[in-house]
Amino acid sequence: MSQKTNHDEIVDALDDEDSAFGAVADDTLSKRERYVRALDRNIVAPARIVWDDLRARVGLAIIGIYLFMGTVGPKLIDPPRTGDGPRLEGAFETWAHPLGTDSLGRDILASIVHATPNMLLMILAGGIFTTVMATVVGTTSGYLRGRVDQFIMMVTDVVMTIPGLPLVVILAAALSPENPIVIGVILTINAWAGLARSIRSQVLAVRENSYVEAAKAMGMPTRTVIRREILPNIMPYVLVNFVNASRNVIFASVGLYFIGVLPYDTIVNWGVMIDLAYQGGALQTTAAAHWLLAPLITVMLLSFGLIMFAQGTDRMFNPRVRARHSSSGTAEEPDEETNSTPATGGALK
Amino acid sequence: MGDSSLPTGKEPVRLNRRRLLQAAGAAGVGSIAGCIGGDQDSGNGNSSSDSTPSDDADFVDQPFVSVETLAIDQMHFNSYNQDNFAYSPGYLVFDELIYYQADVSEYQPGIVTDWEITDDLVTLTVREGVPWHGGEEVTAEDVARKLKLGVYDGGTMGRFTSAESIEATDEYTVEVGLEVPVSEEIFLSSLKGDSMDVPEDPYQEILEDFEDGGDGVTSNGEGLADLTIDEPNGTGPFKYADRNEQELVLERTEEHPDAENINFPEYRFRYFENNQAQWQALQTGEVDGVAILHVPPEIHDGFPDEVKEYQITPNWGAGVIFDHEHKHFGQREVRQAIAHVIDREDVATSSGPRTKAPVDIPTGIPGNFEVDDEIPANDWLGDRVDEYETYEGQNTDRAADLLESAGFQKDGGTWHDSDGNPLQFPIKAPGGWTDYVDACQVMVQHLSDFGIEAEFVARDEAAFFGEDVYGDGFDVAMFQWTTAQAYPYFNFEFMLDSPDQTDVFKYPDEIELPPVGEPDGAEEPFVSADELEDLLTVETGSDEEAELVQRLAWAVNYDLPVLPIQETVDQSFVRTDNWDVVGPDDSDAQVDWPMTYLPRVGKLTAKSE
Repeated sequence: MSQKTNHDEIVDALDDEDSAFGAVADDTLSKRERYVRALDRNIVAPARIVWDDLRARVGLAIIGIYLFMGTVGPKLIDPPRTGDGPRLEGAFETWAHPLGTDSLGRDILASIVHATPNMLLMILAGGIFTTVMATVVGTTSGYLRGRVDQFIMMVTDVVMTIPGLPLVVILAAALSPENPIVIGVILTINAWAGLARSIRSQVLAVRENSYVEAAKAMGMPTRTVIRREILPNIMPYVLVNFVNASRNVIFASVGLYFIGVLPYDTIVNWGVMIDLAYQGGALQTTAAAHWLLAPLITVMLLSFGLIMFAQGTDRMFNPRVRARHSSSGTAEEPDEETNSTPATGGALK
Repeated sequence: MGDSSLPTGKEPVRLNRRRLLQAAGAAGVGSIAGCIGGDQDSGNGNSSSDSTPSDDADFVDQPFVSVETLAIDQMHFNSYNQDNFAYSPGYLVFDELIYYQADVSEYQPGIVTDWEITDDLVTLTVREGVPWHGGEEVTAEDVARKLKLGVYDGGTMGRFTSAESIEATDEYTVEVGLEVPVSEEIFLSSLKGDSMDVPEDPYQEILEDFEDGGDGVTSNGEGLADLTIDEPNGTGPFKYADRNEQELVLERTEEHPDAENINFPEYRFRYFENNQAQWQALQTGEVDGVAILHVPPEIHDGFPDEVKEYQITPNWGAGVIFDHEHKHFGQREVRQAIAHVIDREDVATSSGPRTKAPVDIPTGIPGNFEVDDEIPANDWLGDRVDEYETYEGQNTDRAADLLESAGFQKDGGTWHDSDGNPLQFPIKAPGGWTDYVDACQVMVQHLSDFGIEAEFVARDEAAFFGEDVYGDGFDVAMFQWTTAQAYPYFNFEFMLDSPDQTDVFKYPDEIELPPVGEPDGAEEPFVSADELEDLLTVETGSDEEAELVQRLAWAVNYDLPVLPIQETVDQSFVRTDNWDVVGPDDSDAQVDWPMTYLPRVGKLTAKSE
């Protein structure tokens, strides 16, 4: 996001106020125009950039499938039951059990689908917890500097030095959480610290920009300065890390279910499925291989989708790329870069 | 398992728990893939060089490697202390008093070579020439010590004799005075599973403390059930030599009379964490034999031809136990409803397609594997077999009637009691025991379909015993209903009047029971202890015996102190690439366990090439 853009925002904000800045705007934008621009800037342009990128499209498609599986899927497919089919029927053998059955005759596709809602909740909870914590801590500390910064960073460093996995294992054993949201948060209990530190360093750079200086000079409250001037600049970084945090939640939860640290009462969880398949000897006999492979591929595919999406969104925040896609309604051409509309300003540095 | 939480266990119970631990075979729920077991020759080098190879030309310098699911460095050799007792190695380090051939139901001599049983006296003859590994010879005094400790420890023998009546009359003769006449069947069954594992030091001190009216503690203050022995003074053909974290090494005892049948110098037990790791080790040849291991058919199909399987019918099986003080499961109707809902056939075929048989009629009598299209357990019921409730399973109408009669109502798909509390419970089992886990999951399915909110909770093995079953932390759990004894008395004792059942699971001493086969008849008081005592002393094969068995079976069938679900066949394995061994048809292969008993009789030997 450019300097001019931010400046526009300040103007917008102060629009109605009786101030020196307010007087400048002879040709004030109408409300509608402002909405259109906001829509352009925040949704349409990013979406177009994302859609332009093959990786992001693939990623989105995969994530879409999982979202579908997690929302509509359980309504379409009956929950898995013991004795649904014969023991250990192979994959792709019958329509009744497209992915086969496990050692108790439960349908594997149904198990995977019915595990999805909780997995998505867990992933979302972990991702949001990490990024929100890191962003709040990082920006506050980076923007305020001084003693507050020192204190917050000291705490952050302490949290960062606690080894993550053992801590999670102990917490999981002590609390025996079963709510997916709680599990998501526990799994990322200290993952925010590293991210908070990197965000802080980004903020340290951003806060030296003149428009931040200007905003402060105008007497904007700290909160507003952070929200309006600082955050938009670090958003790309935060988003990419949100996706990475989500991936880590998947791996951590599957791993902990597999080693039996997290309690479970049903098999509808991918990690539990992997554990049961392993215990059932899927490594020893091909008769049970599909039982192990199905949840493994499910986990890998979601992770792959998230990586693809993260890489695609990376481009979204690249100002050069973004400029090309910034206006709505017109067919964009690569050369348009030089004729960019005032909305994003020609003020690319 | 916390010792403090243990009841003062009677003998059968103690043995059962030990067996239960072993039977399911896997330790702990944690199962990280990866290197388990270590090298084939992991650093126990000193032992083989110490033992003097026999002069015999057939002697082969290779160890027999078996498995152990307990942490090797925590294992100990005091059989009265359940916590980490070295169960499998114990079969080699100690001689049993007698051995039982399951296929022909016959007893073979061990330390006790002969027995003569009259109405008021049992005379036991002790084998000559068996040395303690410490040097002394095993005498009648040692056998008497073992029997007396069994009585003080609450064993079945205490029901028909007392410690004062047990006496070594000469070096190789022990006499047991009987207070009531017992059958040979009962007397020998009560010896089964006892091994010669109580050397004078430290057990004489414990016995004397008992005799002085104490609780059986040593001068160091260690009780019988807390004592740990790291380097046992044993009596078996193999003696303790060495151990590290991964492996226990036993050495052939030259002086043992059976040693001439053994042509290899060492027996090793290697640590494996769970069933899966043992399957792999057996498949790859990392181990030579496993005493008990649950192996599902698809895994068995993948075993190479060298792996020889022995199936033994151990009169052992899993069932559902209840906390009888629970406001729901203390009610007979609720237990009956659960029994009507659970489809035992489905549970058995799911959890062990090759090796489990559903209990035909839940009476507590073992013998549910079909023989010539007949169920041996039902023979005891005679003509009255049709009068017992079969609890077919999936009989939701009957179950619903029962719950309604007990004041429950179905509301929103779930049964609620009259206070509006849902009928729900976690059913617990150790997570690493794959057959138990499978069985629980199937039962939970049946119960949930009916509207009882059961959920399966996989527990760590130590937590299951320490915190749940013996720590008063369960409502419903998967446990044993058997005692590894063929004669029905022992199961009845366990289910109706054992310390486990009355002290831990809170089953009442006295219940109200209608007459056999008449569930609607007038209920009368039924005191299990009295009926059991009658059965203990009745003449075997008499009509009176059958009548008593039928009454006790009715108590189990109608009141369901424990719900018997299935019976199991033990699977034992020996690899034949380096070993000559007899097949499963040999009666000696039907003694617990082929890999520990067959070497004694020269039917498991190292190949000489």
